[in-house]
Amino acid sequence: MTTPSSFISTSDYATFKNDGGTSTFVVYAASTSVAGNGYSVVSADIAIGKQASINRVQISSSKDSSKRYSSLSLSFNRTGLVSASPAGYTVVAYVSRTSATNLRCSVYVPNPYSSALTTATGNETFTFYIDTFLPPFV
Amino acid sequence: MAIADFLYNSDFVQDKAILLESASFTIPTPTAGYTFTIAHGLPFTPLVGGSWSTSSNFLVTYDFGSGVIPSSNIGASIFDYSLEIAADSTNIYIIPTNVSGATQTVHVRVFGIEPSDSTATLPHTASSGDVFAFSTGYNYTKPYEASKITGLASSSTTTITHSLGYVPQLTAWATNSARTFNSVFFEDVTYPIYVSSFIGGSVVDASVEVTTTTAIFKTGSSSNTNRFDYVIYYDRSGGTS
Repeated sequence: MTTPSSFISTSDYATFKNDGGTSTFVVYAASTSVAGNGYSVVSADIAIGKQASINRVQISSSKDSSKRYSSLSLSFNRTGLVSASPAGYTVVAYVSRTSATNLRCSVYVPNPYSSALTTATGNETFTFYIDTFLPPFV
Repeated sequence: MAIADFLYNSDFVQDKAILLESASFTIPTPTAGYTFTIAHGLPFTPLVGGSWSTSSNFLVTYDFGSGVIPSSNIGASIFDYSLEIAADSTNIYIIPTNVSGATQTVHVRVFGIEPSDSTATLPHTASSGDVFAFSTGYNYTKPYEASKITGLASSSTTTITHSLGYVPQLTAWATNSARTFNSVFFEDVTYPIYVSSFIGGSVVDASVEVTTTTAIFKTGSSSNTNRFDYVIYYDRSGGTS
């Protein structure tokens, strides 16, 4: 029995193997029309990590690129137009595996209104910073 | 050389998993109120994380907080199935969301990290000689600072400065009065998209921003997060950035 915090390193405790790191981006186009009660999604797939690896992710938006958020998913409030009137909506940026070694980075905009939503002006680029790890089980 | 350029450096601590658990269970439908529980037996609330899969060989592995992307239309959720993880002083909680309309068997792998204020003595989680603990084929992220922020209220901002000069990797956990959650963060959001009310009627309305000089921890107006635990690493985020 030992106190793990007192060790700089020890092979008696499992650790995490960093097997990959990269960044990619997804552009959500300006003034996209989203059907009433529908959704819009834009994705980019990247090959990263080995089978069973887990991800440490940071996400940033070009509308405030000085900030990177530490999260697998992130929601931003934006304002678009519904029937020519300002209407709030949410943009969700998130990641998930689609195969053993493929990671999908997506931007999803649901339209909560029954009429078509025109999203905000100006392209918005979401950058995903990804580091992958083999957990102790592998 | 910079510390971040070393795969391994004996002058710096390593992440040490002090808890390893595996389990399988079936997600019911609907999932309202269902939580899969694992007793952890530790003298503190571990900082939990891990992965899960719909196959026992973990062919496609999902992070907690992520899920299975629908094969066709996205409906009320961006995932058919997703799992979140949390812990308290007694148990680990696996919290599923299932909008697929069908039950699903899932397999989970859970690890726990010791919080920075623990002084517990603990059994080993790896047996020397059985497996290689270190391999030069991989990088081992090197913690720059592991600490906690306590006594938080809603709508709070806490800035931690670092001197790295680049955006480092970071992991964080948010704790409310009941449980400690692994990295579920929302920013500027008025309603959750796919995370249901799994913390006594409230979501983890909190965020962590990382810059070249700071890590900024925020709680939202509806947040009942009262503590963050975090690890800032010497290693750069996104491999090279």
